[in-house]
Amino acid sequence: MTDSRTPPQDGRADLRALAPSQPQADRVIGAVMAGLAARSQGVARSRPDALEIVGRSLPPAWIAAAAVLLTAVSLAVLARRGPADSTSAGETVAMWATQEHVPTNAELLGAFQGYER
Amino acid sequence: MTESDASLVARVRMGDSAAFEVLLRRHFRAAYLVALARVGERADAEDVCQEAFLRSWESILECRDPSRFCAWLIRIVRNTALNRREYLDVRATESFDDLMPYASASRTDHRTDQEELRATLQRALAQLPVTQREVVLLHDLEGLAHGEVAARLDISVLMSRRHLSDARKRLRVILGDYLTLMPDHD
Repeated sequence: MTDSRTPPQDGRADLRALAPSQPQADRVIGAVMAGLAARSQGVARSRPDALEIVGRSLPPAWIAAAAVLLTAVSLAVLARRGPADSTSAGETVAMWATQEHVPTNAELLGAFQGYER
Repeated sequence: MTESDASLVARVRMGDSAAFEVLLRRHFRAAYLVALARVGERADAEDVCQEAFLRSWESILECRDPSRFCAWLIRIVRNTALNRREYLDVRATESFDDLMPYASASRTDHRTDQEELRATLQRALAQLPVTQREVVLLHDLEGLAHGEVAARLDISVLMSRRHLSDARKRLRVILGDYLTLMPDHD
């Protein structure tokens, strides 16, 4: 470090008084890190997953109906591409939809005769 | 062995905040001095750094060359400081301090020698163009070579040398013998 009482040798001014102190660095960086931590906790708390949002905003019967309809539409599309005997599966699903019946895995497997369809 | 900026940036991109803190500590002084060159006051420079650091965390994926993280960070600091400067200029026109000089004078009565020296240097620097301020602080205070200053400020090495030469001449004129009369501030 140069002594500020002596004139600088290369014509530079002694600017050390303007240098940031260690407590300044700690204060600024500490505030940033605390902000990041608070932000990540806030995001974790405030970000419900998609199912939670749907579950909060719709009555259960609507959810069941929507799930069945979605399944029915998907299967109907697949049935169009599949062999002729898949029509009966489509009818079964359509029946479930009108009855607002949520099929079990076993019923689905039974209707579509396994995973292949 | 010191971990490279590029490696730390890669970790930050994975959400590693500890790596981010290492980067901030490594480049804090340069970022702070650039902020100070732009806004003039220590407290404002701290605010600028804080805001710029948070922005850099949010936009870390936009850092195209992680090995040049510091230059990218400085760019964010300069933009943030620019916004802050505009805000301060607007606020200054509405400030009561302009209308009440006694309030400002009473504050200076209690300044220590160190604070007085700092205020004198800040006033002197304020008379330089902003790029000269940045160059002289990064070179003469932070100790960066012209190549490093040029890379951080997006200017050529030649311009860095020229700005430094002009800044030193101007500071000598403004400060005169002031610095040689001040007590040691180590």
